[in-house]
Amino acid sequence: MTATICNAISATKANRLYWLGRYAERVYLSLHLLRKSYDNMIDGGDLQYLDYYKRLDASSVYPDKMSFMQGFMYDEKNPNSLLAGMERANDNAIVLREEIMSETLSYIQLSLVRLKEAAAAGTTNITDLQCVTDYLLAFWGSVDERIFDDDIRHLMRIGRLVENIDLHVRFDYPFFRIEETYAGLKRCAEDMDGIFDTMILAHVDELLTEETYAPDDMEYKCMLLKYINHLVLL
Amino acid sequence: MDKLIESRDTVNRWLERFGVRFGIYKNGTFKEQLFPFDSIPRIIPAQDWAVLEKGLIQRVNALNKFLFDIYHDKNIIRDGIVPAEFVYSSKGYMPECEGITPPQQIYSHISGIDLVQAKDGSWYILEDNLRIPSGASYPMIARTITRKVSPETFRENDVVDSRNYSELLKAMMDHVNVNGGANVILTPGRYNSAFFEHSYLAEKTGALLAFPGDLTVENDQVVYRDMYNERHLVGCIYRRVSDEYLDPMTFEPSSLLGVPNLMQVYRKGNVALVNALGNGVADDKGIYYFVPKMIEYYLGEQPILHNAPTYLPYYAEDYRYILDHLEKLVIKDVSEAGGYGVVFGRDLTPEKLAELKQLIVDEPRRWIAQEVIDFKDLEILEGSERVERKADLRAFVISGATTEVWRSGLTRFSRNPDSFVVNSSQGGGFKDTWVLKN
Amino acid sequence: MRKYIFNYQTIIHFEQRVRQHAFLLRCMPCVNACQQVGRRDLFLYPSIHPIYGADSWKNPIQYGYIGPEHDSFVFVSSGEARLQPYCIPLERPFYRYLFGVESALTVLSDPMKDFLAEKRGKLEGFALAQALATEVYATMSYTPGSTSLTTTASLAFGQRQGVCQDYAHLLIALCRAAGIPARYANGFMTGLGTTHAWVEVLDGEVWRGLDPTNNVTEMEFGYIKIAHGRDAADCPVNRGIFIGTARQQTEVRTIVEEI
Repeated sequence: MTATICNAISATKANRLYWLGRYAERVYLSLHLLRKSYDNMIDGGDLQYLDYYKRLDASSVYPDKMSFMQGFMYDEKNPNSLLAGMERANDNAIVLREEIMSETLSYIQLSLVRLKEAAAAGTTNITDLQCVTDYLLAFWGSVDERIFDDDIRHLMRIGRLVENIDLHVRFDYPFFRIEETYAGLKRCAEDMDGIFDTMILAHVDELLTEETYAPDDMEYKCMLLKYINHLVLL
Repeated sequence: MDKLIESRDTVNRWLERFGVRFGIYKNGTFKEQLFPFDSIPRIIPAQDWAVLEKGLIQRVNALNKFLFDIYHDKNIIRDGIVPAEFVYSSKGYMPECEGITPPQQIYSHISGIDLVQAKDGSWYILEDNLRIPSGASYPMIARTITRKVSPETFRENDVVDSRNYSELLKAMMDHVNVNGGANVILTPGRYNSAFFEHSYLAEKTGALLAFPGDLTVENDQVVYRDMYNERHLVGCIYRRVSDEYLDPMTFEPSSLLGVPNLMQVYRKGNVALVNALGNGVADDKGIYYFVPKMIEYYLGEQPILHNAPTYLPYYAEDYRYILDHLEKLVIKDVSEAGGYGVVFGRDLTPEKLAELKQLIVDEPRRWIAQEVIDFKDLEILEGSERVERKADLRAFVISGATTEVWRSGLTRFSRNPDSFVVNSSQGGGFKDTWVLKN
Repeated sequence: MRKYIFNYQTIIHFEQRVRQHAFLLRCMPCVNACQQVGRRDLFLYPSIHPIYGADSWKNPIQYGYIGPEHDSFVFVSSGEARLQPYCIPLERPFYRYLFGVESALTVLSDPMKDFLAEKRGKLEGFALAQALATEVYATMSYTPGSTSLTTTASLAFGQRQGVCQDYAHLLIALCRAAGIPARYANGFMTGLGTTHAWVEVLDGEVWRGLDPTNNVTEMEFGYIKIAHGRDAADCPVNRGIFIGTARQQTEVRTIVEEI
């Protein structure tokens, strides 16, 4: 008997889609933030990189600028490195092939392969990683072009936007940037019942207003980051 | 075709891009490796293929009838064609399947039949894989890539389009689907060596890919639970989990890969399992000997394709022949799989040969012996040089409403010039298999 | 004919609540030529309707799925059985072969081979099986806790210790090695206790019962069978899979009385 087409997504898959979105965005934004940080180091001196640690709540494990640069790009043991993030993105993507299609998956594969090649070659000039930025943009383009299932696309976008808010808050981006992303996040979740913890959502709503937004206040920042990271129920 | 052959590295880069890998465990850690593609295709002319196709359909039809017979009336044993002890002491025989009739009476929906071609051009069956034969996905995706990389090659050569494998699979799953519920591919997970294949086939057939824990048995039905905790009825499971792990309530109790109580639902005909359980009794190395006899017994036909000349120490005449000619035979351990229990008599020292003889005397049922076939080697590219290597062919036979052979197959070759073993877990690569239209 | 009432209960307390609990029970008497069942009941807690079926050996099974969280699992099987002297016609001809070959828990070891050679004498068939049952009884010492559910016959024989399951496996392995088809059976025995295991061997066209643990070389009455199979792995009373920590306490009690 002809099978019914079934687009059901298990809870595990939903969780992976969310994390694929988060990690892909983390690598994409980290590339951007590292580029800026490396640029600052040109004039700002070697200790500039310590600021980068602080924002990621990471402890200082690299003794100098060069090892910092290498470490944040390729150290697989550093959870904030590009390579570690890409590995995690790939761990999630590889088990989602049938949901996102081989073509979409290929951009994650390409990014990972390129990062590994650069790591093996020891490239520290981050412009050599421009193609990873390109691949990741193509990845999201492929998501929008090729994935017709709303749940799948929304789950990935929710992950992407949560990560986007998280990193932008950490790096003290202005309110209008956060506000737009947050509005987009809520639009994504409109058709997904129960995806947000409603209590936490109310807290975030209170914290994310023009008047209350205060990324300089460490206490505020910690609380906002905590809520953002616990907002999605997956 | 030269253009295609020059494009080997390009094709391999495309394969890498699509994450075409297979997993292996090395020193206890899991690694995903690329499966190297060789761009010189194996070419099978139309008239040769016609014979292969007929022979493969015949063989798989007989094997399906054998499986039905073994788990029901056992006429072939009663009529003395296959000795009872070969069946009941086979590791692949599962008494748990007694009396179960799978939907549409099909046991081996996807059969991977391994063949080799001898120097004189004749084909021999090496073994039948009727449980979970893998490998179709590699030539499948390779063909979609080679057609893009070198379209002129396919314009100039009359190659049958092989991109219909997923349609064959889907039609077969629909044919055996018992209730119109979802078609599902059940994978043990990412750390299975063939995970790429599981996910790729799910993508291409539109089946749900289920991981352990995604499926449950409720009210005598198999259901898939989604993120909103809604249940979706499942009508057919193409399971890539082996029999003994498929239902912890009936088989290996510690298995976390299976679906508890699946066996009861299956027994009642409320779900189709692809392939059926218990097929191991028909692809056992000891039962292999009897397949030509099965073809005569069930179909009343002469076998079109031949086994490699095989001897069973169980029979007195064969027993003597084996002991007298051990040095020129290849000996296979019936109880092992994966290409490790294969010994060539000519490679053994006199002491080792005597040891093996003793083993055969002690446990005649455990061994089979075969004449060594003089393989026809295939050309591969080693760097940019053409060299000859051993290769086999796994043909995929799909049994649904009809029995059909996929017009391609997995051609594996060994990298090592001295090796006769082309198992992909032991190194080596693959080629596309071209079936010509005329 | 004799009449018996039986009551078998298992209470499992989970240390923490479990969920998505699939279970398969073999706790109700089978029906065969020497065993008829008058009334039989199954009580389950959490309260759900189990599905009744049979496994490939035609043993009655009861299975189901409990989705919600629960902290205990109880099943009580009770009823009335009418027994004839223990003797069951061979159900299917091929069982002669099937129960003649080794199974995972009854693989013959060299010491067992030697033991068989030493004890078999000139006996054959059922008489040999009877003699072997007595030898097993004499050579083994009944030691609860010395073995587990997955202990093989050869391991138990090696330590000369075990419980009814091991006695049965050992006798089965020896019988099969001697060319006598033999199978594992379990169920309830007259009196108070837990479940019991024994052996059925094929004598011509009928299965006869032997209880090596109690040196009974021809069973007659007092054994209510719930399952048979190649070895204990085919006949577990309860198999379950659930999500949650596996720490649990199990109480089992059986009462069988002739009425």
